[in-house]
Amino acid sequence: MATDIPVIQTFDLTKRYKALTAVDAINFTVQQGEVFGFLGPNGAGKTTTIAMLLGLVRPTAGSATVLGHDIRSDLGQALPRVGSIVETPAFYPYLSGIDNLRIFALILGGDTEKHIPELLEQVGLKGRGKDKVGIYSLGMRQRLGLAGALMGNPELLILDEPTNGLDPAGMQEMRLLIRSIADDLGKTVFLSSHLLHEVEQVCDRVLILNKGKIIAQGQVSELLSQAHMVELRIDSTPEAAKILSGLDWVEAVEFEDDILRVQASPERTKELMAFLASHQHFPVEVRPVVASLERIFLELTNDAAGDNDG
Amino acid sequence: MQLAIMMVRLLSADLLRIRRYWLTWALLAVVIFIPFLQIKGKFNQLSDLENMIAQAIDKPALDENESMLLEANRLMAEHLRQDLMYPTIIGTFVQTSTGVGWFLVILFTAVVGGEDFARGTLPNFLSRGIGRVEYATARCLSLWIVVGMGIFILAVLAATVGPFTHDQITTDPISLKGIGNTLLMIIRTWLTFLPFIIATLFWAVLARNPGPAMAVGIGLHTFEYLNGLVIPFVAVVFGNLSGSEIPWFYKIQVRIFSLSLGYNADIFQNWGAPFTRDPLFVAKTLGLNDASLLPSTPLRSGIILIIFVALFLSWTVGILQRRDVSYGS
Repeated sequence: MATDIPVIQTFDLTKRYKALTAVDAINFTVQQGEVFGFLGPNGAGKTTTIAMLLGLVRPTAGSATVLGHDIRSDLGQALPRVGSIVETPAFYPYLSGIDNLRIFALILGGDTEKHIPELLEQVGLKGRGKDKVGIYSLGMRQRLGLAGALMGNPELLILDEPTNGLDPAGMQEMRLLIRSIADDLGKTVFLSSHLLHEVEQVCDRVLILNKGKIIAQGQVSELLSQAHMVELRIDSTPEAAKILSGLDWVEAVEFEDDILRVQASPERTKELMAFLASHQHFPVEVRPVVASLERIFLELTNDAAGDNDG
Repeated sequence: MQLAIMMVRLLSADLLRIRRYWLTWALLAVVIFIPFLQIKGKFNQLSDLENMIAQAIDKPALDENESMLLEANRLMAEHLRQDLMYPTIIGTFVQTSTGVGWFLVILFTAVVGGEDFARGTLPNFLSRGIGRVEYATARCLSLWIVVGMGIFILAVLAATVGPFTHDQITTDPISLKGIGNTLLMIIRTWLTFLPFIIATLFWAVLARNPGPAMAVGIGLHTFEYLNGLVIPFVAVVFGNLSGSEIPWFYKIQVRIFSLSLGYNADIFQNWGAPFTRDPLFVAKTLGLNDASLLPSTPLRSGIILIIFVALFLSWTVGILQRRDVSYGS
């Protein structure tokens, strides 16, 4: 059932450890049914944010709501409806995969235990459920972690690096599974990852966090379009750059030797060529550069590092 | 009601985990095996005493010391015989198990109660809406229930072998005389395990690791045990002195000992009956004549045990509530 209440909403959420500010007054909203990507380099504050949303770590300042419940006062009401993987999932190694899931089922109550076989099949552990978790590979533990997160049919899944330890085929399977959880089952997925192509393929919206601060957020398509670029090989790069930077639809211009990079929508390429020609500049080579989230991410995080250094 | 349902769910989950853990069964085997050996030792002791009594009786004349020794041996033999008769032997078995049982329950609680911190499985519970108070309470209760099951198994085994041992020491027919006291002894024994469980869980939560909890728990219990062994020896030295002449450090040693968990658990468990493990009783027997140094009564010990339970449980919950939980592994 769709509602207008955000599944997750933060209000200047902050976590400080003595002098270190791990999460610095972040504000974001996750809507129902979307796959929300939570990106950031190591130490950006992703896992701390997730731990605060799950009640494992207390915020120093600010607050948040999960499924409409305040994390400071009544998170216990929301958490039974939230499935999660936080970093590497931990289990009892002397218990089988099935028994570890039975622990979740007993905690959650209801008929949860009946769904264990289908969940194991869903995550690709059919036939391995009776094995002790102690002999599971990291990838198998991740799969079991996802099965545990799916126990009790949660409305919200919070997944922290869920493809860690999976082989390429397993990663692909996991992505498809996450996408189908949102598309077919209507669940909301909050996906933290440092694998940018993964986020690009799976997520509807992303947030980029660096050193505890949000440096970008929005639709994946919007972010990608912002980063479209046209690359030209031209003789007189300084002059061409100067005249192009005056155009209002050109967001940025940079050059190196005879290469000129113009940040603008690829649809403007013809217009760009005509403008240069009208000023007696004739490129010998023109090619659109396809933007990737990785490029945006690196640019943004490097910019942020530069700002901080400066 | 909702809280009760939650507790039942948590206990079920915990009991599933504990019964699938090999350590549970290994420790149960130890806790059964060692009392069997100790009971065998009591039989041997009884046999030795009976031989000594027979030899003394065969003598044509006894001097004053020999007569006193004969009387003491008769009393001890009678006491042992009573302990080994059915159904008292069931209580003796269970009571004897605490000698090693309290050490083992410290080890067990540290490992099983502290593993969620060491393995990183604590977030699995808390991130599904389990409160920290409920978590700590359920951990204590599940361990205590498991100990109760162990005591029950031990009692059933003792009840099974009891008729055979009864026949070896007396020709009296088996009766159910004293079954009430035996049941009370079993219940009191079970109750004495709770403060050990809670205190050890406190160390595990404080250290977030089973290792230090085990070391501190076993270390403290060993210390009070050794302290108990030292007290009678010191009593031999100071036994004939009047109260004011007994050195202050000995008084402090006895005072501290009288507040220790193990000593009060012993006093409570035996409920007024003299027992050989009681160092103060031994000290008194050896000549310590200051009665004020022997302060404990079963009721007072029971209150001290309740204070231990309340204090350590509130500290455990307080630490869990206050601290952030480390996540992942």
